[in-house]
Amino acid sequence: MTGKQSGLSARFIVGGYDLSGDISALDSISGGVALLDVTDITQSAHSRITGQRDGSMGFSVYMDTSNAHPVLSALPSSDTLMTFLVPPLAIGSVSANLNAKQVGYDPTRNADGSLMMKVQGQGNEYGLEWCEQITPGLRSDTGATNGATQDDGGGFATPSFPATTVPVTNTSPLPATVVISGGTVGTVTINGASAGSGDGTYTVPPGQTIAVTYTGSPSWTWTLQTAYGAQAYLSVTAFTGTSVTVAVQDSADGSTWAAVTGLTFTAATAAPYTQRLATANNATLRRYVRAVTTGTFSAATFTAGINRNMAQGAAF
Amino acid sequence: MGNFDAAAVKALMAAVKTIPEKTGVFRSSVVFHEPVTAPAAVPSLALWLGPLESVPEVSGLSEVSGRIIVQGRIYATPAAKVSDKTEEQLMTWQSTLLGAFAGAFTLGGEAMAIDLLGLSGSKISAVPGYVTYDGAVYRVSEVSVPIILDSLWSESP
Repeated sequence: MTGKQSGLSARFIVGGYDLSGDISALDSISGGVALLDVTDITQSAHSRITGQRDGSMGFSVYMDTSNAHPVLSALPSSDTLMTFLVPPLAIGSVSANLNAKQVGYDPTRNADGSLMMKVQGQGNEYGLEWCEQITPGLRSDTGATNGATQDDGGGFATPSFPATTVPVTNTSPLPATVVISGGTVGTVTINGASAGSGDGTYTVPPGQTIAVTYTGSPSWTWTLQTAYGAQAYLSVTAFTGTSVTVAVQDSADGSTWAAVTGLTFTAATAAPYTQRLATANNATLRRYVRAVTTGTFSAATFTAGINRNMAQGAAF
Repeated sequence: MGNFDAAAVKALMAAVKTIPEKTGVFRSSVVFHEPVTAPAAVPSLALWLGPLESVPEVSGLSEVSGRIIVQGRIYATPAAKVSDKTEEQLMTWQSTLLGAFAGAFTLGGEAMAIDLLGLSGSKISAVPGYVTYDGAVYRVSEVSVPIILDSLWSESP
């Protein structure tokens, strides 16, 4: 779906429990970095640098002794993973994830007779992360499964080699590694600025152009990938069996897959189960991603999301 | 969705009509106009156009989003044959119909959403009543299905 969308059919998972049916509203989701004021006496406007990340989620929940109450009334002191699955519940849709401390489970009995609880989650160790769903909301597997493919390249196809000096735009959402070979290649420009000359490897950021001055018949290959690592979240809400291992795999072509180093979750032996993982922030993540399950089980219901870092030095 | 042109209207109406047809409840007929004569058989469902108006809550700075209310009527039975069973059936048909719309609230991507909860101020509903056709009174339920449509028209001075 394109265009604006509603919040109908959203899901909210708390600590591996699907409490969606008991939650009346998400009151707030916030995140980002704090700003530190470093204005000196020579400046006539505020100067600011970024500080630490943070995040919080707040929601209103009905009293339900068969579902939400036993989960939230425990007021755990340990971390709890809060995941907001933004509709439509599909591969590539958005989710918000927060490794949080639950703060409060505070009831209000209103004059209209309603009984509502307010719950807040404050981030711990990591800030709020906006991810893409690599499961369509909650996915139910009945055995080892290779999940559906998410193309983070947005369907991009390698463009044909243009005439000399004619720019070609990287219309994909990912940086492209362009390898030029053959012909007699002169200056190569990226977004109008010289990036070198001759055959070789060039990086074209999303939305930018590459133009090649040449004679003869050079060719090129385009590879979409990021090189700044990623983080992933898992919530297992139901499980029957011995264990299930969820792993994130990536692929350059959508057909040959490999597990992403650092993004294989610890085997879950019971539900609820949650985990956050992160790769090194200089790790390569190729264009296509998917969630696969292995293990001995007859039923596993879970949701997973991945946050692909798009900039160098990303740290959440 | 871009401008709400003839093709978009046609696609929307087809998507709306498909939902009750798929329930299998209104096997007699589902029509997309308000009939002026009594239904040939019951239960049946008629849908027709209601108000079309803008919705500020989902409009952008340069685009107008709107809501079209599809009105409908479930024809249950002639009033002369109304019984306890009729009321039970009518409630079931209402629930099935509204449930079917809730289960396809973007109409396969043709709409931003069917307004299930009153986002635009008017929410999906079914209100039982009676109407007279050809001198006969029918037990019916008046259905209202507000559909929120994204970016219907572009603004330009």
